[in-house]
Amino acid sequence: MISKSIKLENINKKFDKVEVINSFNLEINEGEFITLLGPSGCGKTTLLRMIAGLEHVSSGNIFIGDDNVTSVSPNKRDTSIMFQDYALFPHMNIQQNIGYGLKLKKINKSEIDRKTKDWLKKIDLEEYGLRMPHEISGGQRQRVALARSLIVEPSVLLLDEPLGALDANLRKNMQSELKKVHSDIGITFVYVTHDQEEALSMSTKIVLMNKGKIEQMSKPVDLYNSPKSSFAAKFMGFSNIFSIKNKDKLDISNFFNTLENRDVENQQICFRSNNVNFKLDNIGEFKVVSKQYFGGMYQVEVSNNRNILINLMSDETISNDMKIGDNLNLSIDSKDIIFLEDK
Amino acid sequence: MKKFSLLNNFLYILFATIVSLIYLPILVMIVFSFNSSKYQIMPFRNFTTTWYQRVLTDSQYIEGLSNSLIVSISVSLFATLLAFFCAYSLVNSNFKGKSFLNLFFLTPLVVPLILIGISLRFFLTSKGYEPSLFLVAIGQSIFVMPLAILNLSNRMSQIPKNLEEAAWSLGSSRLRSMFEIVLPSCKFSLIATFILTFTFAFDEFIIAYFLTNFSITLPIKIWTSLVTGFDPAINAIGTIVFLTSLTLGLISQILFLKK
Amino acid sequence: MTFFFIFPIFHTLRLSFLDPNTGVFTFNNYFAFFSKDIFYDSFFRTLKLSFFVISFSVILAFPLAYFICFVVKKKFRTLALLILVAPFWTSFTIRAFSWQLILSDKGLVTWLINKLTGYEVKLNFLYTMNASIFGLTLFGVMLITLLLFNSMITIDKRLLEANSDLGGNKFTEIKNIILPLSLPGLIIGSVLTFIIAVGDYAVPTLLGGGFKPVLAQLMLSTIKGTFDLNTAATMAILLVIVIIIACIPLLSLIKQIRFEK
Repeated sequence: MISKSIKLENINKKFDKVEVINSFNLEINEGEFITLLGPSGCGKTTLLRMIAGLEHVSSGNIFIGDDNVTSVSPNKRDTSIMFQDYALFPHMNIQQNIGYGLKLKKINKSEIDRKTKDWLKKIDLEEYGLRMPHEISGGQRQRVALARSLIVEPSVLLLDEPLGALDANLRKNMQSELKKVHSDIGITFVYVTHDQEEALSMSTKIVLMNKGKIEQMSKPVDLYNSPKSSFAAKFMGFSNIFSIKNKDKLDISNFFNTLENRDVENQQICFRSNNVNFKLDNIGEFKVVSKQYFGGMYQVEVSNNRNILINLMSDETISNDMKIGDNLNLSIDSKDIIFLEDK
Repeated sequence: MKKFSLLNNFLYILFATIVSLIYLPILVMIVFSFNSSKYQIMPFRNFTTTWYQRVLTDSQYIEGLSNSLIVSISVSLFATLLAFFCAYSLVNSNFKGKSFLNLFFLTPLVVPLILIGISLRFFLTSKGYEPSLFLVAIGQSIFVMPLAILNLSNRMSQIPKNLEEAAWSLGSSRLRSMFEIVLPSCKFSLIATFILTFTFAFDEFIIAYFLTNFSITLPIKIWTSLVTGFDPAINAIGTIVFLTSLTLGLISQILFLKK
Repeated sequence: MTFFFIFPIFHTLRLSFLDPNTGVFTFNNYFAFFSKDIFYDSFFRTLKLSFFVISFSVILAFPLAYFICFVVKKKFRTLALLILVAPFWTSFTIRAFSWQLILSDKGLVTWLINKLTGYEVKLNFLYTMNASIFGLTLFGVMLITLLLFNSMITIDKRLLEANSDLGGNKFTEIKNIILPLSLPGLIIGSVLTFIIAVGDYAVPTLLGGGFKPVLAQLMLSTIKGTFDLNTAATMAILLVIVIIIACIPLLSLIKQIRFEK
């Protein structure tokens, strides 16, 4: 299969005067596994549908490979889309579903038959060819949808939260399976999800979106370890985001006293709850406010007299006896503090 | 608690009364269709099947029946097909005048049949068309179209949009996906709509009355026999029509539930 | 559709403003209509008939729909509904005619009374407006029950449980929950029933008789008898106006639904 790059140039999209996508620019290299990540309503699915041609752009250009496909209809684009609920044709059996794209290309019957059989074998459903979609399980349906999309040898595969409908266990399996398929066939994958773990474990690059704009575009490791904005930090699970007044003179020994609750004027910083060290200390400034068990760990909320609320993670062996109202002393390593770029 | 069961009893009685009132005339009709008396008054004389034989040999009834069949079948075929395309465009597109068009398609539903009949007659005769079965078919199509569109767009809006989108992204054209994806999913609704429009058109009397002169349909024949001296054969034909329509109606209902 | 539906209506509208003899534009047809007693009477007779038909239909249909929806066990619900609406598929005309057999002075009812009690009675019911009301009401009940049922069945049963949980009784349940939530069905059903009642020809002829005609009967006899198309057109347009007025509650309903979305 040939892999192609995608270029989105100054894309705008309005639904009934509501702007969903706002001057969006993005270049996706061929063969990449790129994930559009963001909360619901951030425009990620709309963007995917525009690449597929299922949604018109209000303005801007879309290139697939070297071709400007902005006004090309979906059936003439070199893309194939997979939906969350798989959208298998309910009146066709599995074999017909998989072979449908080839039938549209007017390929002769025996060839379709051979290729369909091939794919059935690849997805481990050899004996299921004559079953109807409602007669197989969710995970199997997902594989059929994948085969149906890939049999037409697209240059770009678009995936719209394809694992959203599966239960947690199956989801983990499918994640590694999809990743394997990607490295085997090497075409460009554009993956849409709101699940950060899924995005981190699968993609070669993540595009974090917020309100129709790119919030941050990085490799998974970079996004996880050094978010650039408080939005990105929150989305990546940082529960401690604060402001500090004087960013040039960071006094690490007195760090927790320089923290302010967030305001837009000052420098924003964040740190992970598991990076905060603590010691029980009767004259400590922080008091335990709440404590919640997380299986092997406790998530502990502590607060000082300036209403600064900090989240900690502590091993259960240490904090089993911790009580609400206990006093703590906190400390942190300066390498664990991340400076954010937004105001 | 006691008061509620009193209410329930009242409701049971009400239901039974209304049902018997609805079925009483049908029952009477069936019974009288086997009555040997020429007059439609009590008491019941002897059992006979003469009226059925009469109906099956009377050329006027046969002609009416065949005219009715031709008209109703063409009406329901035409209306179902056209409604399929109308419903498809109503459900699947999102243009500005959509809600207006939606209302426009449904307006014949709130116009009495007699008005459809009269105004069509005025209009078409002024344009030089002679009343004929063809005009009847046009008039009846207008009356059944809203029902067909309602029925089909109801079903179509239940088909997930992304089925078609999946087909497009696999290389199918709009036209092709309409026939290969949407049409098969509406299969049962199409049959149900066809039957529904057929029974409505088959029974329709007043539009036909205005739009044809010499080639009469069965309801017109029944009507003229009713008002110009009674013909007991009507009970027989009524029974036949009732039983066929009921069967067809039940089939369409079951198909509709099945989707 | 435009050609065969909208144009004809406008053509009729034009006809109603033309003088039958000279073909000049005039309002005289309308004046003439309301100055002749027979027309004037039939117009208001039609309205009266439709009004009674709707009232009775609603009064009967509401408890019926409630019964099928909330009293009948789930297993039998579809069956009950089917029993009630199956006669939709039978000839309206023949059903109306069969009532003649039952209600006429030599019909089933008088015969039965005679057999049971020995008295010769006269019903004096057939060929009156009451008979028309009776015939059309039976039809209206079927239609409104069906549409009401469609509305009622979508009501979340937990709302009713919440009502009784908060101390409400059957009466408040019907008044505060079921009635408001099934209002759309009630309005659509009533308007459709009104339209059918106002424009029906068969029932008023077969059960109501010809001496006190309704508008539809008059229209037909004008066309087939005197060929006075303009007067018939006038009547048709009056009917359209009445229907447009009747559709106003329907429009407000559509607006309401739009706001909800």
